[in-house]
Amino acid sequence: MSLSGKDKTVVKNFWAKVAPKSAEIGGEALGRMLTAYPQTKTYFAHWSDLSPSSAQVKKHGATIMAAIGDAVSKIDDLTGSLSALSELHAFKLRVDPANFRILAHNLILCMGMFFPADFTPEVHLSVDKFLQNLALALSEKYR
Amino acid sequence: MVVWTDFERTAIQDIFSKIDYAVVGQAAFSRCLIVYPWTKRYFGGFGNLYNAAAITSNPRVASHGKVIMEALEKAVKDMDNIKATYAELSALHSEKLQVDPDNFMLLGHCLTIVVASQLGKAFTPEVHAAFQKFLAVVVSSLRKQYY
Repeated sequence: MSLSGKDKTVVKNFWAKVAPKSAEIGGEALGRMLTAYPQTKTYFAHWSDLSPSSAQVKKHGATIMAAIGDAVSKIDDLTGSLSALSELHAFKLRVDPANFRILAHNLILCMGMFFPADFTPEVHLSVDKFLQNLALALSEKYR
Repeated sequence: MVVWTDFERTAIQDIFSKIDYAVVGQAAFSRCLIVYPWTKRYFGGFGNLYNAAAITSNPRVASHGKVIMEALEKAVKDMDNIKATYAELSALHSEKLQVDPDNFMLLGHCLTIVVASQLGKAFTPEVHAAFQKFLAVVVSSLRKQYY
């Protein structure tokens, strides 16, 4: 399910709208993931507060969204531009790639909540594809 | 046996009392067909599902969305017996309709997104978690008769 030219345009245009709320969306998505999918908490056992209101959660959510935003700008070569992050997730963090999908779902949910009018089914489709491709690029170095 | 906390029970019942089944059903089901186009395979008799515009305006999609919500309401009305409530529907989906059960959660995702958009801030992470648990139980019950 590779990204068509249309998908890339849709994602870039939508991201331009999302950018001002990027940090907030990231923080909220991560907080929701940890609450609604408690198995994901296993990767953050070193944090003292895993609740949605946690400063650690919000900060890290913002970091994640910033990295995704960067990937949007490099949408034509996700594998290349995510190489270093892929190594990090593969060798150091060792996050089961199934969790990328869970986070993607929560990001999409938050985008839908923050931008209900803009997040049409067509935009949802392209963003879903983008996040799937991003997850693939992120798991590139795993084996 | 699924154990529901008081908070979870109230949260689920509250959600279903607030949403319009016709609106939410149509929005969630059509979104599922658009975002995950392979799910269209099960609806060959529904007429024009060619593109997003056709799906969104398709009357059979709209009425089936409502049917789905009404079926979910059965689980909400008897949260301690969801497995029994869906025994027949599970057999239907596995034997007659032959739906790949992985698809159930795709619809679940779309429903969550539509409900979240409708309820806004009221759909807190805790309410979201309760809804997620409810959907997981529903999906598990629908998977029961598959073998």
